[in-house]
Amino acid sequence: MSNCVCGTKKEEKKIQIDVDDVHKLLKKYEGKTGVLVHALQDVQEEFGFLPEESLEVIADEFDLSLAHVYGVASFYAHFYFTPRGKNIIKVCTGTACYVRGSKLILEGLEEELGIKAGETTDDLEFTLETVSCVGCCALAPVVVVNENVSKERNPKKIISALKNKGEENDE
Amino acid sequence: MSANGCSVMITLEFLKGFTKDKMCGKCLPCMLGTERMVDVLERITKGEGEEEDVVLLEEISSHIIDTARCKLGKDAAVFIKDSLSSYKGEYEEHIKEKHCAQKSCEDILNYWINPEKCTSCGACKVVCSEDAIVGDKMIPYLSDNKPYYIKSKKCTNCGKCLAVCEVDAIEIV
Amino acid sequence: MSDQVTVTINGKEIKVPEGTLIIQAAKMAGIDIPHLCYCECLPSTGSCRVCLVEVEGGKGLVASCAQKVKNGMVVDTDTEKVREARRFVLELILSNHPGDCMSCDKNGACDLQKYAYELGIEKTSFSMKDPGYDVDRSNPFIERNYNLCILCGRCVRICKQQGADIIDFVKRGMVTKVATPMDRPLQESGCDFCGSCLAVCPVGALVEVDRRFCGREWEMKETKTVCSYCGCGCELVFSTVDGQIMRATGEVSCDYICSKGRFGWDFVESSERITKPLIKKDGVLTESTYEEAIKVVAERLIDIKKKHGANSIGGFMGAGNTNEVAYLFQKFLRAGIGTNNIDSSARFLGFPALIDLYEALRDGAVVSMKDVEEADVLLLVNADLTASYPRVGASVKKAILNGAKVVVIDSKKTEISELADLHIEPQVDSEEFVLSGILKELLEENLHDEKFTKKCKNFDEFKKSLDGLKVETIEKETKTSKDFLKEAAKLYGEGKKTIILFGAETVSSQSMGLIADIALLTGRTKASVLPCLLSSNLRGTIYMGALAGFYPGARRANEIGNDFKKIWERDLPDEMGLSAMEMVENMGSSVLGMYIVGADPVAQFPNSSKVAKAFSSLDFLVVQDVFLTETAKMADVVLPGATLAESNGTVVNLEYQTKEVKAALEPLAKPDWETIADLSERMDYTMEYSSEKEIAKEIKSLVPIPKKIEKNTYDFIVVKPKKSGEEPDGKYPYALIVGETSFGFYDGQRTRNSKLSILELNKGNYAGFNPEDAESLSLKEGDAVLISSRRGKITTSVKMLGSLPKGLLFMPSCHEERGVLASDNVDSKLKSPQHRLIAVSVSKGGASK
Repeated sequence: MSNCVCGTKKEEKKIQIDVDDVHKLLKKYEGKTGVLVHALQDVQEEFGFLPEESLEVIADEFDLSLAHVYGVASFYAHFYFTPRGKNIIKVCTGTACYVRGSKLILEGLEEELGIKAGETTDDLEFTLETVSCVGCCALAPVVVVNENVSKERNPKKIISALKNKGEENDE
Repeated sequence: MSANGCSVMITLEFLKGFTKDKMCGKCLPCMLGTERMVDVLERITKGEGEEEDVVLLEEISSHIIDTARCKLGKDAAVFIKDSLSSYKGEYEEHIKEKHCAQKSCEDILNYWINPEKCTSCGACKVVCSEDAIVGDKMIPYLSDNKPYYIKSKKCTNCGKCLAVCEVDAIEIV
Repeated sequence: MSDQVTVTINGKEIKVPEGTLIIQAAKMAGIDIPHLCYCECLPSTGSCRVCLVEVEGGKGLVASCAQKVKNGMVVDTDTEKVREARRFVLELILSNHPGDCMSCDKNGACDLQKYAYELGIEKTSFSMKDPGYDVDRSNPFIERNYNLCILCGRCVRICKQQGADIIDFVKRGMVTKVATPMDRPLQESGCDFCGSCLAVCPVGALVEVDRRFCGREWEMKETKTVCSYCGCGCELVFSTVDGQIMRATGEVSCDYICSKGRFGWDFVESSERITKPLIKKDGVLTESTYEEAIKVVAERLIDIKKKHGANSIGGFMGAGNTNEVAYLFQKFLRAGIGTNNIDSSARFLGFPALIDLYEALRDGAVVSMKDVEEADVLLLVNADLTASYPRVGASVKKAILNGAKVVVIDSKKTEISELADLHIEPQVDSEEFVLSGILKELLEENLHDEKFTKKCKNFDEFKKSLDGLKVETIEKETKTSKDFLKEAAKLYGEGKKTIILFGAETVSSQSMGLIADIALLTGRTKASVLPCLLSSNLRGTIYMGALAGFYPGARRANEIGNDFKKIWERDLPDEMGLSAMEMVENMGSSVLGMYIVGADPVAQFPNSSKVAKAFSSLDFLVVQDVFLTETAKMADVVLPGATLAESNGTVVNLEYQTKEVKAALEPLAKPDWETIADLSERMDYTMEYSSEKEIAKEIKSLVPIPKKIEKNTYDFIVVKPKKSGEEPDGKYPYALIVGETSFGFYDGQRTRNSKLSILELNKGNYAGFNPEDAESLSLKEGDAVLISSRRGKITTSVKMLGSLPKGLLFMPSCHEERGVLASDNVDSKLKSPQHRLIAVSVSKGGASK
């Protein structure tokens, strides 16, 4: 076990959750069937992702196998199994944006954050993702920051603006 | 849709969207068949398509209509079939002439410097990391500078030059 | 019988029952429709689209595995359109199947390969894609290469049906994959390694690690025999190449075979096996020849008999030998040597459940797995089915899927109790009170069969004794509310086809009597009680008479008259014979010579340090076994034994079925029966058998299985419930129970020498603690702990077991030192150790092994 690097890294990142919170969320589904996806949505809403323990609780409560719960959850792209960052940055890699140099922006963001697309920073501040098209090709290249299309396209400036904002909130 | 009107690209985007979001992956002909069609369409948009590819797409979609379990898969195949018959000319243009009239298929596009607009400032040559742009900077009172132009063989369509040109002299054809 | 419909398939008209699937109807007509995701024993999903057929008048092609036949339906399974569609699907699958048939072990047995060949597909016309998954080689049992997976989902469905339900399709679209939750390795996902998934995989995605690159499909020789582990007696097919076992499977691919059956056979090929006779010279066991060893044994036994009489010799055997070996062994001792001192492990594994229960219930005690699967209410008493008798566990799971209700009485949680409708968790060792309580509730709720009980002579006496037992007493002893008992009584009483299952070695003979009473009170005398048996030939061993006090046919020694005298042509001893624990008691005084076959008393018997001392006081000890056991180490002569995989003969399983054992491998030395016969010959009692078939013939003329009972009334068994375990007290505050685990077996002799042992913490040498108990003792998983009982102490490691109630400790029966702590207090009537519970004290520390 000791030479398993990925295992230890994962443990560091692991977030402790209170399983009682999950039980509370599931209370309203007692005795109902066909509500697995709703329950998963509720749990993700609460924790921002689907922690492993929560899946175990759901399987237990609904009398389903863990394999089935995981199978259903992984079927939908909008369920996440690892924590996501406070800020979610999406770079469009659709054709129009690509032609307009979105790849450069993505590379810049990857360098700036030290992560690859699809990953989250260790401090859980940023998640970087790509999307195929967000439906506003006229504005290409498009970067979406926390659900808003960003006017800024300079990777450094995008990140520093978010960091500053975070500090303001902290104060 | 970001395809800006190219039917081949629209079809490819549709199919990619289908495999990513709609397709469940539980019945094999739909799952594997659409994925193979994506392969073929990608090939065509890259200018690597061959004449039999249209026939292949027709065959796969007909078979999916015959064998897939549910309507979603069958409908996707019908969409491809319709696209093939309605926009035959566009497919042929991509395959035979390696050309996309709608300027959507980036891999068969060419970047071109419009000499009428170019001010020979040289900014594009500076940012080009592939050494694909040749030409001389305009020096006042001298007139034997070579005009800038892009070597299409070296160009990777990265778009850096497009971003720096202040007079929009770089065009996609 | 359901209505018949007529269908025409490929021009052939046939009548099939309504509701038959097209693919099944075709099979009945002798037409095989190609299929990948469909599997006879599993629900259809219609996902592979290979079994498409044309139905006249229908729109498009139809999946024959999902469509039921209709009267007058005309089906074509082999038109050009169908072939074209099939070819398309297969070519697509092949384009996503980057396997190389050249080195794939499934070559020759692969369905994808077979159908591609039949349709003449040389190569896929599509571009090839490699999913690029890592091959999972993290366990030594199942290799998982999902690059070859065709997503048919058979493994997913069978895992749900009879496995641990730990795999499912994950993600979607092109990246769909079969995986465990979080895609963890099998051994970390709760896999029970039954290998059912292996058996149904149509391609090379799931393959036994043991056979990788060891032999091709067509080189394999198949031998149908019986599993040598528990009493379920599952039929196994061994595939061998050049005298080496490649794999073990069921007869039909969907047959449930547990981890021990499918992967636990490798002890047969262990390097620890005894291959040559050993004779002790100057205190050291030294290799010798077979002839010399037999000569020494015969001389020494004759010598002891001459000096001290035949009754100074005793014999003991395990309960895992064939009928032929068991019969011959007791015949050798009784007729050859002239003593009734013959006993077997059956003494310790609940023989009353095999003799008394049958006499009380007759047909009621004969239950098949099919009966279990078809039952609507199952009552489980102290039976950790999936760990101890996995085949029964699988059948119960199937029954649950079929809608059966399950009531479990067990102080600890088990896999089945988690699925049960009602789990009664009484105070440890109070099962007799629980069962009495259920009897009372059945009467109170008027759920008993009055017509039937009127015919039972002692019903009034039985009822009076029950009335004498107060509900308060029951609630106090069991720490369980009577409401639970009422619910259990209602569930059981209102069931239509009910079966009570219990562990023969875990339930007291009193409890067994109460179980028989429950069946009788409700008038259920057909297939109503199933004693689950731990050893592969427990029934056979008893029926062959390898049990003190009983002769072949399970006939009591005092009832046989002159029958055997005539057949065996010898005078038989008058004494009843000593039981195993009595022999131990008298070793060194009146018992001086012992012959042990396939058993390890020194490790198995309770209070093992005392047992070891007794054995060391013998004049002569001969052990015939496959491994150098603790007992064998003390022997003067050790004779190599044969495993069931190397034996021919018969065994009787828990369903009362006599099953044929066939040697898949040549024995390393001699078959066990031959060794016994040779020894007998040397001692002037000739045993002339040319093969085990002749022994079987002799047995058949003597022993009906089950035995005939000329009686048509039933008697209740009147029981006064009590607790029989050692009560925890101030000095020994914890109760310890010994039981089976999923990957260990009985004394651990075999599983320790198998790869299976890696799946148990510390090869099963641990003690299980309730997490709260562990916390109060400040113990963590893996800590060394000293456990003491009134007999002795051992040091072992700690394992957290949430399934245990507070105050109860668990020790796997395969623990090497399990005998040290156990009590040798013997029940005077049964002559078997009385206490299932051991009072122990626990302290942290001690050198961990």
